[in-house]
Amino acid sequence: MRDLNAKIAEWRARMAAGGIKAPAVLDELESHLRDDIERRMRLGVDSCSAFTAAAQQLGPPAALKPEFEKVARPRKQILARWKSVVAGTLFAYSAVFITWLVEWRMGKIEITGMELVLTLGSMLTTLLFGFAGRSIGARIPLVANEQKQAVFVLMAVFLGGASLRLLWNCLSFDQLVQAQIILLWTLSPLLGVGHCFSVWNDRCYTARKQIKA
Amino acid sequence: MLYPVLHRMENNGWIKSRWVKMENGRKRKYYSLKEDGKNALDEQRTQWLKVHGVLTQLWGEKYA
Repeated sequence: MRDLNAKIAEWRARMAAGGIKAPAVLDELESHLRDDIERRMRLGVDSCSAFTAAAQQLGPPAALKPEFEKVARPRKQILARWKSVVAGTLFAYSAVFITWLVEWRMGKIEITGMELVLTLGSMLTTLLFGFAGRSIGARIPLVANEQKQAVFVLMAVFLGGASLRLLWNCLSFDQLVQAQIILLWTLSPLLGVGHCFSVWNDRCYTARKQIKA
Repeated sequence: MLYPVLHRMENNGWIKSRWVKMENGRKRKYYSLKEDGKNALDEQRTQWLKVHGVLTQLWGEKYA
């Protein structure tokens, strides 16, 4: 048994040298190796041959490493996509923001502290609405009938547009800066609504196909 | 190889794992399905049925 433990320790070192370094992964593989060895020994195989066969079954580190590398990759791709979306949004905002700041410094426009807060708020709400839209779209009840769905979307767009128009009339902003702030505030719900309907539409489409099948 | 697939499923939040200490003192890792995993399975099944439906239409009913 002492001999077997030494062999397993050596096997673990070989795996680590071959590029499988995470202790949690090595623990899991070792647990699997030991189970396999025990199973073989119960069948009457001696510990030395059982170890060799089990290690061979699991494969050399060169074959295992690329498989484990694949695990980390999709997550990295998703992160990269989100990072680019966030970076793009922030870039667009910061361009507007910097323009204001420059004009404000040059004394062309006046920005109050409240307007700065509003601007930062609008940046945050855009990101929040983006996330909220996606999650709401994933929760709206499914509609099986295509015409009903179309009517629902048209009504939502009409009501949304009408309420936006009313909001616009209520607020009488004459300064360019304030108009820009409002524009950013209104863009954010649009982003949310767009996300929401795209996710919901995908789900309804899938559900309809499922009913037909 | 099964473990990388299990790890990927765990990363996606579809399954969860826990180490359990056994009678002989050794640890063993157990995996179980999460609610998100059930949903993902349903989604994958739906997609597969969609593909199956298209292929059945293309190739005719006798292969369904």
